Amino acid sequence: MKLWEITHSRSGDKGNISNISLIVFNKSDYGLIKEKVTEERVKQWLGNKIKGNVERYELPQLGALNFVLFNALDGGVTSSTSLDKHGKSLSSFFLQMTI
Amino acid sequence: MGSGYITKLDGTGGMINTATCTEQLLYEIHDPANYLTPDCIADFSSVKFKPTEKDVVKFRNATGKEATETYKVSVGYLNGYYGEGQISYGGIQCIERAKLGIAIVQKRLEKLNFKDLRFDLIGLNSISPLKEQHKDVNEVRLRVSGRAKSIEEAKKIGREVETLYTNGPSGGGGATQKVEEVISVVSVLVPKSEVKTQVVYSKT
Repeated sequence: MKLWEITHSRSGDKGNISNISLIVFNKSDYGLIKEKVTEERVKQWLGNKIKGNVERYELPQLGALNFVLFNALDGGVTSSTSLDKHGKSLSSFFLQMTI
Repeated sequence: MGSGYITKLDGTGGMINTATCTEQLLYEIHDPANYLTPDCIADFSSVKFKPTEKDVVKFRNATGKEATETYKVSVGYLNGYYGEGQISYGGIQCIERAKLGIAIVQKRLEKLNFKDLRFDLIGLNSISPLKEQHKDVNEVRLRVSGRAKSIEEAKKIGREVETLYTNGPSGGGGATQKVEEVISVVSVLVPKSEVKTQVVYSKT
């Protein structure tokens, strides 16, 4: 199963830190993403782009997880030379993850 | 505990529902229990949403703690010049020709001292952190970017890419060049006691 089948997501940036929310469409799937979408899996899935740690915060009452990705934006929006300086597209690549 | 309604004007686009409110609540947030603002440490970790009618969502359990002793200050500084060049390849073996173009520009620029020099293939790997997929494409755009100390150095990136028109793989088209001054931002914390604020009214 791909994450996009049961969740939606949005990414944002603060300096060189990206954060990506992962929100279930149906609350009954929250247990599944909490079990499967670990900090380690996210770091592994997004690969070399994420140079630092991944931290996960849990919001069960909203059926949501919030991932904070350190050193993840090639220096951040005001100095990066990459095309997607904000990392806005990361949420879509995240949703392609298989669980 | 903070509570209220989120809604929007009738007849406007978009939608207010639990999904859009949850995305917005977590937008650019790290620890939902400790979001530092100048006025308080906001705590969104127990917020609950309940849709009450079309495009109306009620929220409750928003709370917070006393503010910290510091303000966040964003300091801008001159960080050199950004240089970029792009050119497109299409048709049979376009990816291979674009990769050859990259190899040529890489060689031409290697003795110059650029920071964060990047070589991307737009359509293939410019924004994707995932392994390359969709190799069967009709076209691809080569992009080279980096930062230099001077505007003259930064211009060299775009020029070397544009040179591929006549001194590179066949069929390169639509070359563009760009140079920009870079003002980067670093965020620091300043004690609130050192910041004096006042409001001044003046007639213009």
